[in-house]
Amino acid sequence: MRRGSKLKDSEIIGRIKQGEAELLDTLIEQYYDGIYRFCYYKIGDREAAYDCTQETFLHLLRYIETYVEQKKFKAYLYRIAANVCTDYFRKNSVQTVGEEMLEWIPKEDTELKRVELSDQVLRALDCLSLAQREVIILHFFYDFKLREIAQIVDINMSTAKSRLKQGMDKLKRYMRQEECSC
Amino acid sequence: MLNWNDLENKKLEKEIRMFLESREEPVIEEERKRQSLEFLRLQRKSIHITLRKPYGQRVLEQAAYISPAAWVFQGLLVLVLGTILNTPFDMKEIVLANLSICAPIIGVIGFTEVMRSYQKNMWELEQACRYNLRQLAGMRLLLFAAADILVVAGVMVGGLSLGFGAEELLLFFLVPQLLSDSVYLYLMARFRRKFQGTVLIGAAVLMTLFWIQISMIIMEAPWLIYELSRPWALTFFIVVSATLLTALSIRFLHGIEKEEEGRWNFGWTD
Amino acid sequence: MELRLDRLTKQYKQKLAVDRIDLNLKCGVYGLLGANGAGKTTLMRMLCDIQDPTSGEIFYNGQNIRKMGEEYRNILGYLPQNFGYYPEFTAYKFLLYIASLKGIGKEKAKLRALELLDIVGLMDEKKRKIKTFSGGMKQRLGIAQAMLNEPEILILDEPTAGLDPKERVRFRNLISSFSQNKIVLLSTHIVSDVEYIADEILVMKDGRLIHRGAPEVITKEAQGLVWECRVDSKLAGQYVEEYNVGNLKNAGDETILRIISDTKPMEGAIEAEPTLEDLYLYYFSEEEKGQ
Repeated sequence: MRRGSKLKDSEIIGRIKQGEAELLDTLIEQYYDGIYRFCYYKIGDREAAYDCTQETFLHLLRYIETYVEQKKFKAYLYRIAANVCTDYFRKNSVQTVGEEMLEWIPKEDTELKRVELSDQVLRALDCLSLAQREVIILHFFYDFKLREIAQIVDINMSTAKSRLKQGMDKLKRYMRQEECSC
Repeated sequence: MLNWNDLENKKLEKEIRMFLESREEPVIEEERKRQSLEFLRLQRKSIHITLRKPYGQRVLEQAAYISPAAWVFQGLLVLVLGTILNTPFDMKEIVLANLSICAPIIGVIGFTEVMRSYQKNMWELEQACRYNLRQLAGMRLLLFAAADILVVAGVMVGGLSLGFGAEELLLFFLVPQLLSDSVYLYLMARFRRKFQGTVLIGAAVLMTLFWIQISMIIMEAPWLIYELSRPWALTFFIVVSATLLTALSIRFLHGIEKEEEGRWNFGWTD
Repeated sequence: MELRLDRLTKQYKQKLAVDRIDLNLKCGVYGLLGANGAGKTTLMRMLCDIQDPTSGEIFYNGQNIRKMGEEYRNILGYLPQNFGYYPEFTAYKFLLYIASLKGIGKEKAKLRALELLDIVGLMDEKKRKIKTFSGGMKQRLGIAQAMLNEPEILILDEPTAGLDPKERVRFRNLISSFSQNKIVLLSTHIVSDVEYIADEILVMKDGRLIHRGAPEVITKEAQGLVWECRVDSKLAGQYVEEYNVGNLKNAGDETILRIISDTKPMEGAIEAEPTLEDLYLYYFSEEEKGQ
């Protein structure tokens, strides 16, 4: 941990844009763990999570010049991570579906052969669809507000609300040992 | 519509939160993390953040792209002004009047250059660039403002050395120039894309005639010159015309940002 | 990288040019097909931040392009349908000028300008004034300026107008090699230009996006709508008036007509395999006839 006052994201981004590119290292280090965990919870695979984490930051580096909203960096970064994970699913799950179908129909409930998750919580998350899982993770693990979640996942507020509710209902049923549509 | 009971909602949330918090955070292997960070650091090093060039530098760069014709005319103008000042006349009023008449012509050069983007149909390309049309127009205005300031300074210096009074020079040269430029800027903001060079020239001609008229009036009444060049009157004229010019410049630049509604009815653009 | 259009609309006093377009663009080449007046140029202008929409937003990687402003234009390359030039400029100076507006440093600008002049085949003409250029040469110069800043997003409005067949092929190759990891959007009337290089075709009519898909896929839409008929050459003219004829081929006394029609136009008509051009005619025959 660093001594002294930690710089705010917006300050760091400001300085990066002024040319202090080295500060990107600081930023990446700061967010590495959080992004790794997010990818892990979303995909369920440790190996893939490392790959997606790296991919997220590579993406950040590639597009840092066009990043302008200095105040909402965290949501922006998690958005990149969410997209990277979604792309990972597309590439690694269903083989036979044609490209154009993937374009029109978001495959939220794609099956994925994964490493067995021993943790009960992770099994609970397993009950959720990918979309619901994403919202639950962002809300409960990272304390993102609904508005930020909508921005990260690129949906509107009402969709975010309903996914959250559906996710919570499913979790409730899992917790009560009721039927779970896994 | 969420049909929850608010209390039940909060209770459920708390329950879920407690449940989810019982999770074990996945252990991140330090070695893998270190390798990844190292790799990312390497990638980061090959990034180059392009900084904005300082404004002054950009303006000077643009000077290189002003059409040579503009500089030629500017030079000719200086010659003409020099000639006017130096021509021996019985009455200095005539010289001053001639200076006024030349005042509108100075603006024609600069503003024609500024409007070239529209006249030569380059505006669309320029607007899509990083430093878009508004900035470009601003830079051009600045360049010509600088050139005009030099011209005014030159006239002042030359005039003073030839025995003219500073107030007279200001009243007869600077003020008409500021006023004429204001008129041009108003016209440029008004017409913009439909702008033709003839609009400026037409305005120049009209204003020249106007100043000739004024000059004739003044020449009949030399006491008027004295009155008008009093400090308070002069200051008033200069401040008003300068403010007008500034306001109209801003208005012009501001209007360049994006095209207004309903002015795009070209047959081929859709 | 992603460009997202969210209910993008542009309303002029008399006309609704772009009507609530929702679109998601990822890396690749997109061909925008539509007749004149379909709203293509307006759409492109909005994408280039030259025009503000009446309503709706455009997002680049999740950020609103209007808020991005300069940073967005920095990764953009645009070729308008009609562009002018400053007459005293040479090709080389023109590129340097545009480069200065794009914020490219002097040294790099010189390198890029020469590189691109070479790629578009104007190296020998670099010291010539643009006013001496032919239409095709001007167009090639326009393509060169669009690529000066190595844009992430390339928007080209009727880029092949005025190019001869050899130049067209060269252009297609240029775009194909450039489009790796980039978004390229080109609008055209000339179907053959996009048929081979576009990953996806976007069909626009009356301001709306009526169809979207890979060329092979949307061409199938015209299955069963294309017929080949042999008619007496003397009567060929009548048929052209009456039907939507895509192609006429002379075969002595007879003329082979390629007709686009929902139903079999006449006895002896044989169903033909549709091409993208047929699809275009199917959608836009009324507009084209009005020309």
